[in-house]
Amino acid sequence: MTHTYRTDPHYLHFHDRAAWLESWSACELSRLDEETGVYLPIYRCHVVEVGEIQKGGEWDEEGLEIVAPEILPGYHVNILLENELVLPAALEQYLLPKPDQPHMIWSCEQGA
Amino acid sequence: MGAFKPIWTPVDSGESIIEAFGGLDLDYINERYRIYDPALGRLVEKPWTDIVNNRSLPAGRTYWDQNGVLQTAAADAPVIEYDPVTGVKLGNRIWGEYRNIVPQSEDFSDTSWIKGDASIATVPGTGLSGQATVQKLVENPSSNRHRLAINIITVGTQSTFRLIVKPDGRELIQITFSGNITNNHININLSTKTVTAASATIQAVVRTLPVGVLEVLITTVNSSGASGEFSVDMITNPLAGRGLGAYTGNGSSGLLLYLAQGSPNSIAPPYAKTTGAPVIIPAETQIIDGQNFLDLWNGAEGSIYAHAKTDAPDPVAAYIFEIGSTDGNNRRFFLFDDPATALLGSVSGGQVLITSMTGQPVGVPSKLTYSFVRSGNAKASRDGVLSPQFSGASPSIESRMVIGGRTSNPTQYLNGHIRRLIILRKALPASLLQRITSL
Repeated sequence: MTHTYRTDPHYLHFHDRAAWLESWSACELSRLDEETGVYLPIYRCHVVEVGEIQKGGEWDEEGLEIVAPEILPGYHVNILLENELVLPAALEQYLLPKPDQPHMIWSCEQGA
Repeated sequence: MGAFKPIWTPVDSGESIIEAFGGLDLDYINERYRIYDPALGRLVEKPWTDIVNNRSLPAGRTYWDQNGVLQTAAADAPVIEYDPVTGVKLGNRIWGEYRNIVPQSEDFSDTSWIKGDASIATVPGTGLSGQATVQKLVENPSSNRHRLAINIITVGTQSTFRLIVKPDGRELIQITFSGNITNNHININLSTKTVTAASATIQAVVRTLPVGVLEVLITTVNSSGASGEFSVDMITNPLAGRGLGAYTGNGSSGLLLYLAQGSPNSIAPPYAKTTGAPVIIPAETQIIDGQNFLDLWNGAEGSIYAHAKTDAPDPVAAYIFEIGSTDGNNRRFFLFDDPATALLGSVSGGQVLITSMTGQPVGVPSKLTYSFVRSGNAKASRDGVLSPQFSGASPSIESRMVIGGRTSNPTQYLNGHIRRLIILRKALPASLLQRITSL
């Protein structure tokens, strides 16, 4: 069975983790794992909860902060879909444009 | 392609177990895959693409080949890996999701790497993937720290870092973490592989790879989710305190640099290259199901044999396979769960430990079997030790088997290698289970 990884992952932004979990648990890309009570992604859907993003920062030799990291507010989630899977309409309102310098990328994006 | 070992002809008649009972034989070590064809009454050789017919293998996975060269597998290409130190064939590597949080893992001349009283030069040498040049960290002729550092993000409460280097005038290094990461440091003598200043929150081991380079594997305890700096100092005093390794450089000595990796969990994953941003390798999946295998499944009874190892340390469970008709309930898993090996059933929302065998070693191959009949009465054996028989309804191999993990859960994988996997249509008796796992 041939398949493809999408090279256009989705970058989502929520107010906080609770907002993410509420939307995630209600969408068709997730399923309830009855053993753990956690909503896990369905087959061929990959999810990384990046959470709060910190960028940059400088520290001295003692580890003391010289320049504070920039904190991007909100809760960030990256989703990668394979084959025919599509982002549910309910999640589209949380979509961000693909950042010029992503905080974290999927391997299929390298060289894409 | 190698020959089958005679372990699968343990009956007096000399008949192969696989041919006697029907099934599928995935022999990764000999790179041979066969399935029993009832019409022909014998095992038939099949190409890999027919056998694992439903798979999801991401791009960006690297592995060591038989010559000790670091290769990158194409998307959907299974990885048969070798131990880079011993050259031993390890088998089919299966890993869950993993990351490299060092944003620039091979180009140390990039501006994301901070050079402190040092510079990067390109010198002749053999790279890990066969390149003709290598980058070198060269100390400046100044009296100061001579170092290389980079900002990293999203560390875990337990993180692992890998640095592959080679002394070229300097053999002592100090690894430090700072910023919002726990302020750890550790000193390493690359020539003697001696580690000093280790603590409960940072440890390191050094091993020699084939081309004479050294892999330094560091484990740290941090504040989860923090960001901070990962630094490599060249030092001259093996007992230098944190950030106190200043010395007067000679302008030419240094350290050859190959790659750097960070992982935000306690398992050191395979290497993943980064070129400007941390990278995620999605969990891979290998599933046997579909029309090609209708003759394989027997809902009434069956047996599975696995020769596998996991690199997952205690207490991380390592799943060898999942069987069942769907990825919902009524599944059964066979897994390493240090210090035990366990067989788990998942029925109607509950997970029940059915049986276990204690003393599971981590990092070395183990032979395991499991047999069942629909009405219960399942048995298991590991490395010649038979587990207590148990009863109860048994999810059977009806149409689907996930190799090396569980579908859709990136945290529940083998994280290791499978040498051989055999599925039989019949439930083997306890004596055979014990015998084939002790051979």
